[in-house]
Amino acid sequence: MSRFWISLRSFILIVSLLAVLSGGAAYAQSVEASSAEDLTDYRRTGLELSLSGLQEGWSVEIRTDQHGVHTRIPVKDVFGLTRLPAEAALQACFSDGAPVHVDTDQQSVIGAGTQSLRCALTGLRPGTDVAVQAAIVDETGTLRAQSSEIRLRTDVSDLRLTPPDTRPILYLLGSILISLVLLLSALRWWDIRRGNLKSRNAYLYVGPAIVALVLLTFYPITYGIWLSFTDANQTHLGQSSFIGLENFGTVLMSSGLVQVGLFTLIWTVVNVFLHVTLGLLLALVLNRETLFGRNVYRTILLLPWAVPAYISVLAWQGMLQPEGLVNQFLGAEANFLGEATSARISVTLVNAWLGVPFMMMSLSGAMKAISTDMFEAADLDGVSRWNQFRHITFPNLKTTLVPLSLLSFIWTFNMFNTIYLLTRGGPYLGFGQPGATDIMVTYIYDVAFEYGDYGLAAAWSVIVFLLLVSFSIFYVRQTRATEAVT
Amino acid sequence: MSLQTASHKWYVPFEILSLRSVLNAAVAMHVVLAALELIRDRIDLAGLTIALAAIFALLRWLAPQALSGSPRLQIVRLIVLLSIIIVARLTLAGDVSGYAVWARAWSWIPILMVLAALFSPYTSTWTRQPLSTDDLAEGLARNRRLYPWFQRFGSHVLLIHSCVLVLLPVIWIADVSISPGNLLGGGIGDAFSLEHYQTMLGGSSFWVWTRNSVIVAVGTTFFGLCLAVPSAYAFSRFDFFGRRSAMFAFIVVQMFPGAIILVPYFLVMKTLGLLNTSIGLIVAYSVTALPLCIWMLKGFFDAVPRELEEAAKLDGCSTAQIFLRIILPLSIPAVAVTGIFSFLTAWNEFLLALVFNTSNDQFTLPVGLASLIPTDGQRWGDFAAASLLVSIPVVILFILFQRSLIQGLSSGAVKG
Amino acid sequence: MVDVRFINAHKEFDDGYVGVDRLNLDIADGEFLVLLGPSGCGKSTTLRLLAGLEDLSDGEIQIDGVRVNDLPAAARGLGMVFQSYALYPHMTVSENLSFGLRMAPKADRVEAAEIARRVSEIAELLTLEKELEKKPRELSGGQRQRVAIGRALVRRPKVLLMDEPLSNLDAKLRNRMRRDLRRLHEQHGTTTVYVTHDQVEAMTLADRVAIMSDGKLQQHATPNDAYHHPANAFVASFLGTPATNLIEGVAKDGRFTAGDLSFDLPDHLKHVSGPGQYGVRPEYAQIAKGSGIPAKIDIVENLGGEAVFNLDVFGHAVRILYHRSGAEQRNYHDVVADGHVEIDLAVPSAMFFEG
Repeated sequence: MSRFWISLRSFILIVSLLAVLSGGAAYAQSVEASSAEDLTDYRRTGLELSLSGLQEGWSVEIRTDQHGVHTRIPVKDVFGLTRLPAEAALQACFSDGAPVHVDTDQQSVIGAGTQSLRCALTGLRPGTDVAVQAAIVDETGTLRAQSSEIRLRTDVSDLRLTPPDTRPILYLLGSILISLVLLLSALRWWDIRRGNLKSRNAYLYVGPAIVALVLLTFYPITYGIWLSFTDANQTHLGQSSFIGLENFGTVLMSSGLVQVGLFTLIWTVVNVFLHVTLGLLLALVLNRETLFGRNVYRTILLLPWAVPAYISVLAWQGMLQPEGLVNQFLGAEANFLGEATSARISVTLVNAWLGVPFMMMSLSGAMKAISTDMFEAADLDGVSRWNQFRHITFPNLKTTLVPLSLLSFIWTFNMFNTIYLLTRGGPYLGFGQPGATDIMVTYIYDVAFEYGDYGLAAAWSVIVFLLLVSFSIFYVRQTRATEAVT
Repeated sequence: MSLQTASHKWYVPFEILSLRSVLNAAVAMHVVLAALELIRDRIDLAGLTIALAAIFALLRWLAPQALSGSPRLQIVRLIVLLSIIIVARLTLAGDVSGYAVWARAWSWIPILMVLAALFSPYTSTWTRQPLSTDDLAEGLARNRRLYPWFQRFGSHVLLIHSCVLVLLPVIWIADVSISPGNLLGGGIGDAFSLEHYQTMLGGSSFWVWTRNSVIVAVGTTFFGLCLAVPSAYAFSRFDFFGRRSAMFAFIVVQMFPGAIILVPYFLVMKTLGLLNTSIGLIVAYSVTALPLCIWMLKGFFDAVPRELEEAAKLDGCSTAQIFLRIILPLSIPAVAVTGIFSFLTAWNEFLLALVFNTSNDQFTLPVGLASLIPTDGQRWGDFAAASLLVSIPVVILFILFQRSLIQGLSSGAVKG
Repeated sequence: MVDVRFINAHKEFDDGYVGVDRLNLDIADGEFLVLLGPSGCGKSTTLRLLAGLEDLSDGEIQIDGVRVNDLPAAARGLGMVFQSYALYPHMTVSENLSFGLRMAPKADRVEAAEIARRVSEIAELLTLEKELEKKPRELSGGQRQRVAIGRALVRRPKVLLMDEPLSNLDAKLRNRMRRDLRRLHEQHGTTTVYVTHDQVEAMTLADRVAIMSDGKLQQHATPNDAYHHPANAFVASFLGTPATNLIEGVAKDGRFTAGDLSFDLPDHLKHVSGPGQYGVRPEYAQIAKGSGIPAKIDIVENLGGEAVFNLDVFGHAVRILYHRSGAEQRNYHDVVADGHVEIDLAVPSAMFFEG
């Protein structure tokens, strides 16, 4: 028995040695890049690669000066794998003239024998030259071959789409408008008949706002829900077809869901916690009327709210660079935004920095409304400051804290700017895969506008929407229930 | 129980009263300091710092009782000695950077306070119970004098730390904007050059972006107010069928902002050919800011007494006349505040502008400024100069109107 | 023995405003003292100084012979009832009552069983047994008031402080609570300091009143003494409704002259001389048909059983309370002739304040 294993092991050893030797000796790895004009159109830039000497387990990387690694395509045994459907391949890559294969994780892969690869790159900033370079990397991440850098460009003129046939949608919007006006008139007539004379012209006043809200909010939401059941994407928006729950299936089966969902949850909970505790702490200190320089402090502490968020986030991005101010102060050279854990901690802290002033000011207003007599009564009873806070301040702030923390939850959940401007969802962004700091909304953005899959993005949006609605209902119910008990 | 014995029970010397909060703060601070040492890759120092945090926690737990004369006093003395050795080791290991000074201050001050408590004559008098009436009176008077100062000092320490954290990016941006070259690095205030202001103000992009932002923000303010003012008035004054459900709809929309309707929004705009135009953004912003504007205005209108309208009605004014002649002139300040709010929203919005307007000549300031910081070839200096130019007017506007803005916003948000 | 002494107590606020000006006041054990005065007179500040909610600028406060200037509020062993009641809105009545005991610092900690016993005792005393599980917002004004008193009493205070406790109640309830408070004091016998601007409360509740104005003590006396022998013109005019008539003029040789008005001083005031204010309470000034000073009627306020005559006596406004006997005619023909009456101001209860 054991002799069999030993011989099997030495056999494997020899075979693999041979494979490595032959691989190394037989083919030199090379990669060359050129532009593929026929793939360049709205928001996409064509790139053609000729490859040789690929080995299974390696991968081909397309790097740009905007993204770092834009796309990583693993080289695998493609035997038995299906190819990407032709229409979906329009936004992905073709290997040797046919759409690339996809593995069980829906990840695009190519075979070791691939000699040419044509890709439509999405998500490059339009109107600027982008330096693109292709590379072959082995399983340890060592660079095996690299093409020369070429410059590609998506022209601005390409962006000015002549709108397609807009009549259907105009008809649709028009008919919504007309039916709304009819509905409002009918309501008015009904109101007057009911004898409600006080409201005589009310609909005239509310009408425009309601029409705007319906046309530009409720209609898009409905449209988005419909989109989530279609295969709409960048390349065939007009002719998208109904595909049922497939998008939702893709979302639920995708490997990114757990990662993005978990980080979104942690990100939101930690942020709300920090907003509320720090906001409370600062509001408590600032509400001491005898404090010297109170107004100066308050004005300074308002700054994160007053300064446009995108500017302060970008400033933090600069300060968190390896050669930035934070490292200078600490005398360190940490790449805060380049490692998964430190990037996650950094984005969370920066967002806490942004959100505290709002909480501080709202809570400070609510605290002023609590009668000071109660604290004097507690002082006379010898209740300690901490117990005063725990048993008087906090319970009396509850009615303000519940909606405020809910609001903070929703805002943080949807906080696109902080993450997009700090890390773009990275590090470790792979094509089609979420990066380490991607939360749901930034990932939706990537899916929709970097990868062009509108239907899938809409499905994600619907799921986020349902999550938020059910959370809000649960939260409000829960807090009402506890209020009823206590 | 006589008042005399009661005051004996109530008296604790100032040193011990203050020690508790100082040690609490020290424990929290040393956990943070340990994390910072880890970032500095000084694992040895991080270990020592954590040990120090543990020691402070132990002292916090032991010291108040031990100082009142229990045999544990000897243990406390030993622990203090140990902590002094650790802090001395930390102090010697550190360089003379701003960070080191700040971090060691946080270690030394609590230790000095513990030492003060150990050797203070007031503590030793207190330990020798019972106290004489004179000692008690003196101690109480001293507490009364010192404790408020201590509390104030604590508040200022907390606030100054917060303010430094808040001001750091502001100072940094100011410094980068006047440092020559577009790279990071170099200390605060070590060089001076106005080249970035020249680049931004002399080039065309900044002015193009500003023009776009002004058009969009002013358009949003105007269009948004046209929609919000009449409907807020109707919600405040009229009772009509569907009033409650309409108001509820506005709250729901306020709860679920931009990102969720991003994709369909984009497609609608694309179909209508409104991408890369100012009109698209104006329409989008007016509607997204609408709910909060309506809630803010409704709050203000609710505060206008109804008697005024009733008096006008008796004078023969029609509803429209009442609205235009009486309510609107009265609420000009409120309308102005709401207008400023929607202006600021439009001026600072990033996501929709990023998605809708992708060509450089249609960028608004947020997207334009962000485009100065791509992954490679970042122009930090130019960005910083432009940022200062953009945010100073906005910040002044915000701070001038902060009270009304915050009041309107938080009442709208909390009611919603 | 729990007596309270203010010795030269002085309070100057940060903005320079003097709240209490060199106050000297002794409150005896078991006494019900009412601090009375118009709003802004310093009576609430006095109470808050005693409670330890404000710091003294100068002087001394003693409770039970112990100087308490530097003692924290909680250590002074006081109970206080606030004008707004300051009940904790999120706690039930029993939680409100027990909160202070439960949260007391270690030095004053009371056992749970004892707390429960005291709460039920207080609830019984104030007839709150049925309300113990209710929240303050479910209670009537009077019940809230009683909870506030109960919360102050449950700690067995040495001194009970009350800051305008009845001012938030309607008139009818105020009358009843006033009686209840007096009864409570007689049962309990706790030294009580009670602040009010309402002289009826002061007169009915107090063992002694301390009348204050502009931060200064004007008079410290029993209610009767203060009413009948006011120490100065302020006390005279502040106590009593309608207010005492004060006429500024000069007394000389047994006669009082104020402009065109001149009359003989009553016997007990014959000796005064010099400028000053002559005071007569409206209820003691008399209408003297045919023998007095002529006065023009400005307006007559009919109160039912009595009437207030607002008169113009040689340019001085004088009010007289006139008791009507029987169903006389509406226009007072018995005393009024041609819009004039004759009055007598030189009555035995008249007062003269020099200066």
